[in-house]
Amino acid sequence: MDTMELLEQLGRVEPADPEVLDRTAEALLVLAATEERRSTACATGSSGRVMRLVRVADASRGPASRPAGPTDVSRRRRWVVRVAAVALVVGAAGGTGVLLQPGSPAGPASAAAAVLNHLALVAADQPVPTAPGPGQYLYVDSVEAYTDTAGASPSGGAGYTVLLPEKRQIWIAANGSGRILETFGDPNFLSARDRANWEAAGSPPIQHPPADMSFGPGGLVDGPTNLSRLPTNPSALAAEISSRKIEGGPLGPAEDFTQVADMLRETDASPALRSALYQVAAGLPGVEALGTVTDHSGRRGVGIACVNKGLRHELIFDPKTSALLGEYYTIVGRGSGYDAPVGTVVGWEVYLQSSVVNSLPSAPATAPSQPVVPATPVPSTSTSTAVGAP
Amino acid sequence: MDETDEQVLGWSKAGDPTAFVELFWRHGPAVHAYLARRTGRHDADDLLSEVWLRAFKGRVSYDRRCPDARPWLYGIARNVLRAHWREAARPVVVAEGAEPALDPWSDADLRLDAAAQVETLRQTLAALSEDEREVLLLVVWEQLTPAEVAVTLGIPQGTARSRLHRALSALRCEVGADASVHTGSDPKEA
Repeated sequence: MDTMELLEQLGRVEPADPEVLDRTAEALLVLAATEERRSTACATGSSGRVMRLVRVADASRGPASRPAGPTDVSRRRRWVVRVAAVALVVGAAGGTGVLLQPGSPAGPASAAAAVLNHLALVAADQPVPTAPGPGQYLYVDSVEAYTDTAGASPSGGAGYTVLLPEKRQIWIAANGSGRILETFGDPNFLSARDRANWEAAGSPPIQHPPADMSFGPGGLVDGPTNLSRLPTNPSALAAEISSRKIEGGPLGPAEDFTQVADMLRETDASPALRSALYQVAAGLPGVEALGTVTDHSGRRGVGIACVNKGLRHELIFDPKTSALLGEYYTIVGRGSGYDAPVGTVVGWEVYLQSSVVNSLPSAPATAPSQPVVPATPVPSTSTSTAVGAP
Repeated sequence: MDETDEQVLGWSKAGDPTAFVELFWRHGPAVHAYLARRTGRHDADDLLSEVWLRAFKGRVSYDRRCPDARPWLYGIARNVLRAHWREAARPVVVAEGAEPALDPWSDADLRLDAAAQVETLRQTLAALSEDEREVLLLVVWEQLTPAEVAVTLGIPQGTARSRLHRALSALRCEVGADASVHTGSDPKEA
């Protein structure tokens, strides 16, 4: 062996433990986000940064310029069946919406707030998306999994819960007509006990057939929300959300967080509104930063989360576009209502594609539910959907 | 990843808190390896965050001569290591904890022979001046060019080359082997 080879051998080391790397990455994000937040609150950063802040502040006050698209949105909350009222004290709207205004008092000094305020800046810089014209549809493609419980009976039969993977495609026209196709993959039992209960129940079929639903005008815009009418001033928006003017529900910041997510997923929220929504989330107590995380399709993004009743709801964003890439629901403690161990994922979603198309498909499309890695990142806004469970 | 390290650092300086994390994912493992080779894996785990926090705070000092941020990061890692050694009042250890990777052979004789060679090599490295050793190891272990080594150590390129030349000569004399390295576009040193 020659000397150089030997020297190279001498320098061979085991790769770093992934946990060590994750820990360092998270510490860096917190440091960087905190620093950015401080600069933002004081508006004493470089002149370039101050200019960005001013532009965003103007955008959030000005009239919302958005395309004539579907304006009412109903939201999918199918997984969130167990997210209920929580008796947390609402910290007023303290900090919400003020972080981007020079000289205002600072909001919650958390990394999550800093990350969300950064996303707000990025969101405000995004172009206004193209709306569907006559005969056109907004098309959104996603892959997800959510829990499905069956088998419980008054006579004492124990229920069983499965995580059901699904590919979901939705087409929605400007008049609210459209179509939803859902195809399902193989269900996975949440725990061994669920499987045992299913076997005890005689192993009934648990596969779901594909669903193909068509909707007439207005059929896909049945929600109470009209996104174009929402204020894009963060403080005003926070007030509307927390007072449940936009969507009903229990009071409290966990529900506020849920509603912010509702308005971000599969909607055509304008850049100004998305920016305001991030700022509202930044002002919510209990929201935490997760650092760099990956969605279920392996795309890396920045994660924030809110824990409510033992269930962590995680949102993953593309830091470069602020787009919502995906979501996770994970059991992190008692009270989730699931009979499964801590760490069990009870729901996930990845948003793959959003575009304007010229027609509906003639026949139900394609196979289900394998996690699909998209060729391109999801755009910053997408379509609205309606919808009950299939 | 189409963006250069310099561009990513530019975003970081402009206030994007995720940009520096992106840079970390590019080079964090290499910086950890740099530390582990010189101080062992356990200490490397501890020192890694210190290097990156310092890098973040000093990101305005990034040397734009290098599109690759590694030489800059290794320079910071080197300062952190020196402070660590001063604090621990310990002598510089070369490749502590690297032994397990030195055992690729199943044949016992070969292994013994290699162990003897390694000991000679280790002694030769220890006999080099710190400057010469650092240049040599940055080239051989971290795969830097002399130009990049110059950025890491804050020395002129010519100095990096002459130190490398001296280190290689010492290896040739002491270990007696065909010590030579390829250094990219640089002239062969041995």
